[in-house]
Amino acid sequence: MTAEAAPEITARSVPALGKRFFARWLDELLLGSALLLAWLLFLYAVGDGRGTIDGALWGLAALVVVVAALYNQVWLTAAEGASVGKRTAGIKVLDRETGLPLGLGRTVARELLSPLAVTALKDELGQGLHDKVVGSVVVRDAWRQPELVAGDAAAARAALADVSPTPGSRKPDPILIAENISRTFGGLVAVDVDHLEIQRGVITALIGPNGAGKTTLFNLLTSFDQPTTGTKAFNGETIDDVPAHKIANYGMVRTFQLTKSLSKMSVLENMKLGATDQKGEGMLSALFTPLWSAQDKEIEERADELLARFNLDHMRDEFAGTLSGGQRKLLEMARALMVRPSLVMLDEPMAGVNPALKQSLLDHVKGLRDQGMTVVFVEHDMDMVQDISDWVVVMAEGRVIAEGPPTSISDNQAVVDAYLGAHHDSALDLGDDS
Amino acid sequence: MDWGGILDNTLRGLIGEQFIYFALAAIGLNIHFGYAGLLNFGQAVFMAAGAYGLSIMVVTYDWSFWAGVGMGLIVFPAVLALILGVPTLRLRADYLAIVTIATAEMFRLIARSPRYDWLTGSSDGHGGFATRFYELSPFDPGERYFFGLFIGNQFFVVLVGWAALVVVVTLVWALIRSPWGRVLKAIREDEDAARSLGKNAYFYKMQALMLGGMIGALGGMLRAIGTQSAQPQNFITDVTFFAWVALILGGAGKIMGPVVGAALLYGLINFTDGLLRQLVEEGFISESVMDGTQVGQVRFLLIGVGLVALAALRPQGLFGNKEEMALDDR
Amino acid sequence: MGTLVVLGALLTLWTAPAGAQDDNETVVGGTIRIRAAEPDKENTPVEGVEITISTIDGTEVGTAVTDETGAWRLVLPDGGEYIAELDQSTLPEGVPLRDPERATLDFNINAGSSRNVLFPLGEIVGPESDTIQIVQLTIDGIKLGMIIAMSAIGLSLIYGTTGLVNFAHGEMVTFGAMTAYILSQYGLLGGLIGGDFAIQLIIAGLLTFVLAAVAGGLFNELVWKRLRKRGASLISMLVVSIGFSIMFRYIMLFQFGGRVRRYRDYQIQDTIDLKYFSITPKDIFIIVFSTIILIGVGLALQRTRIGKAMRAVADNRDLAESSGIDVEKVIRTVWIAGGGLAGIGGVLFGLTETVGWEMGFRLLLLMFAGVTLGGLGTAYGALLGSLVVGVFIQTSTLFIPTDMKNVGALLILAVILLIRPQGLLGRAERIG
Repeated sequence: MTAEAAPEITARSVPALGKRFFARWLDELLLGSALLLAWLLFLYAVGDGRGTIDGALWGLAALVVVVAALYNQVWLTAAEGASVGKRTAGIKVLDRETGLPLGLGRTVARELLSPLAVTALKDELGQGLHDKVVGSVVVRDAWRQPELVAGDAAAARAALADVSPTPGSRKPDPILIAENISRTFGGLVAVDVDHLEIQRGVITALIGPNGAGKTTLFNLLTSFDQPTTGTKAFNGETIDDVPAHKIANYGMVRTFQLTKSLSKMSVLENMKLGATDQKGEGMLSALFTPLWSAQDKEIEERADELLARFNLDHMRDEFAGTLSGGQRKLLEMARALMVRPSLVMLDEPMAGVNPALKQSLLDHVKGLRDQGMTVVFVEHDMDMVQDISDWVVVMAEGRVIAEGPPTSISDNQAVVDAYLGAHHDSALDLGDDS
Repeated sequence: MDWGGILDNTLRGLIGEQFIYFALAAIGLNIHFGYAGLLNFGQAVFMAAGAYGLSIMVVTYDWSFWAGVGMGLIVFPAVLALILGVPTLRLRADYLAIVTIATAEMFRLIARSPRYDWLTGSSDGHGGFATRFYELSPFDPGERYFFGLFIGNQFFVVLVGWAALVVVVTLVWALIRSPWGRVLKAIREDEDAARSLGKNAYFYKMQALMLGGMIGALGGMLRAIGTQSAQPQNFITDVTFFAWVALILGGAGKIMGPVVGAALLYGLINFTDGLLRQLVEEGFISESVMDGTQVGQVRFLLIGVGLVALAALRPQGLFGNKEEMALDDR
Repeated sequence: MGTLVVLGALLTLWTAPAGAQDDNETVVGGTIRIRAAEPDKENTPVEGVEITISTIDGTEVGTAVTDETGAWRLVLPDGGEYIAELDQSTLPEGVPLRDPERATLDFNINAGSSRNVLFPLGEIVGPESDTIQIVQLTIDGIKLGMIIAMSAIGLSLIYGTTGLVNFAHGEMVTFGAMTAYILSQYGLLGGLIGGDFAIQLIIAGLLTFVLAAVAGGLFNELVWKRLRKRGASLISMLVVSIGFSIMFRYIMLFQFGGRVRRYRDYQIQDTIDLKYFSITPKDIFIIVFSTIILIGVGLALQRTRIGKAMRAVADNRDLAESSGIDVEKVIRTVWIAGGGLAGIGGVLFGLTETVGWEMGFRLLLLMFAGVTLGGLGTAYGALLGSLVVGVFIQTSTLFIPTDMKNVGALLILAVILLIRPQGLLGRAERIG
């Protein structure tokens, strides 16, 4: 690690603070006692303690602890949920005093968390993000994604020209920042990344031997798994406590190593699912077709366009389960684009794809960058990495051991060592397609 | 041999009240399993929520019939779905299966415990809560209707049941063809994929659990009204399996699957039941092989055999499409 | 179909005893006793209580009066449904029925069989201290936990190696208990051709272990292996297991009827009074025996090749397969061992309580609670979780009525899932 000052990730939402406060250490204790006391509550409710004073006291105590213990599961979800509606309008409405999203449980939150919250809000205002203070609420333009700016390979590489090829190096315009992220399973440290920045508008390849923690890192960055420590920010905002299903709304979408095509749905249905903020996705509004039919038609048109672009239009009405492996990869990528992402994270997009389709997949990945999207992908095939990536990040044993432009990677000593540790044949055989 | 009696019985199974209760329960399960991929093995408890929701409100708390209907149809199943869903819906599908089947047993233990006699009427259950319902019947309780298949009150229940069935089927059809239904199916196919595309899988699963539970509760409530009693033994775990067989028989994930399945199931059960009883009575089957009480047990045995055979050999249902089933890559 | 052959053999094994009883009288009876308040005291029989039996349509069949041992007995003309009514005015002063509403009971009886009808008297709470009670209940709980654990290890390992939640596992327990009952009552030969060739229960138990292990192996070979080969989804396999569970359960009901039985051996034993608790020799045997077996299982998992392979497959099936472990063989072993252990668990469960057609299903839910608590798929987790559940169930009777004790166990199941879904010893799974 270099000694230069790290850009702090300060803009953290208040639920994040609250949740961390409770989750990290109080939770274990509280949940443990909740279990015990809930049991006592049950005993006293149905048992011989019914109607006695201490029965009631025990019950009350149990209730308090249970509520406290469920705090981050229930209450925070509720508070966040209240802001979801506003999200569609592209704004987030915060209480000025507490900086909390307006909604359920606001009063409770104010009492509990205001000292922490005010500091957090000051930090946020200090960042000068699109904030507008109106009366007692802050209307914060947090959800607006920056416009995509069309790019190309030359521009992408030029932007990274001055970046030092060392692990954890700072980028001029990072879209995604991970700070001190670690994840342990039992005693095993799967991921331990000090600092990682992903440059906007660039194709970044993530490589490393099997078990290096690439997929786990993907899971951590997209909230599919919770890190043991660390924090991460997307477009300058923390996403530590954003659940996986909300990540897509931020403009970050991922695919999976084992392709997840929805077999018993048609290719078109797969595509239409990808669109976010659909009016017909509410259970009640679903019953009133006029509410959503127009939007559905638009989505269908967009899906058809993408299908044509990915050469899947002839399979439009077939079950996705009938597609070949390569076609599924294409479908998954196309479906991800329905989200209108600014960052696309592809977990082994080329695995199991026949050579004919591989080229077309490669072109599509390049096409994403040329439209201004940022791409991060995991890959084993070094030729391919050399061909399409603008920047390469190498992981081994959970750590980032090297970073740099693709040309510099194959003669990096740390990389050679890492791969030699796993394979005894040749230094340049970075392939590992098991 | 009284073939006429057996035929009447079979017909009653195909379109009668038993068919309606279980068709509704199976439609609920279809939402759970067929569309959202939830393994609910406690549909009997949702049915019981409908039955007891009504009977407890009317008998124990003296509420009006219609208020009881509201509680049994909406509040009880919704609360039950929360209790079952909150701990399990974030986890692998098996956990819901375990918790629901455990809850079914818990319900049975609590409902028949003398300690809660004041609330549930213990093993005798409740009765006399449906008077208001039968007051509305335009049919003469002493007469027989519909080719003599049903007596007046029965016929009223059957008619109301059919109306409810039509409404529910239409509702499910409308929901499943909407984007909401699309999300649900996506969650059934792969929850992580749905989440990566911005769908709150947990929330949708909870909605599905509630909706399916409410439809099941409607079935249970009609059953309580039809039999004019809410008793624990009407809602034992095995009742759930009847609904499951109906669902798999007709085909999960199809709008009409559970309806067709329930009709076939009850047609078949009533037919074999009647036939066996006749055979025992006429002495074709000797007492040492099977007596009258054992005929009832044979029906459960057949349900077990049916579940095994269907799930192992034709998981797509009797009329399902084998190719579609083969797409299932799990 | 092989299944049918096995089924057929079992049916013949189970059918014959019913015929063997035909020339007996149809007898109903029971004992009215006051349960001793302190464990070291004998139960007190109540003499002179009148019980009237009538047919279901109200015709009186006869009245029995309890003798000095508290026993009563009445010969009935035929099998069928009857009503037994206890005349509460004949009970001594201050000795009520436990549930006064249950002074009238109806019961079913098969012609030529005998059955007990129980009228439990209310417990008279003595000056028993809480410590003694807690120690007593904890011991009972450990015993129950051991039985759950023994039955549940197979359930957990089957889940770990194949991903299947085997709902028919409870019926494997019933199978064990029933088989041991038949063997100890009529013997292997008697089971097949009639007559009395009773085998002592311990030997019957060992035979049962072998039979149950074979049954488990066959179950895997004939059903599950085929389904796996055919690529059946886990969900449809789960539904199949539920189907088998119902099927077996109702076959047993069909064959044995709804009444519960007790083993002929070790039915009544004097309790040994230790200072803080009392215990019967059979309970000591159960605890010691199951401890030995469980330690044996633990050692086998830890030390032997196949045991290590089992843990490896449960941990990561693909990895195990690619490192040369014959997964099918491991699965077969798991089914055989799991079946045998479930069978033995059934015998012990039948020894502490009664043998009946539904016993396995009741135990299954407790096994689920134990296994989930410990962590699905882990062998040691199943052990630990089951012990906790057993102790928990028994000690909870300090506070809640005995007929509701299982409710508490099922309730913690839900709470555990809420708080630590991977169980005490489980690990969270990776996605993607």
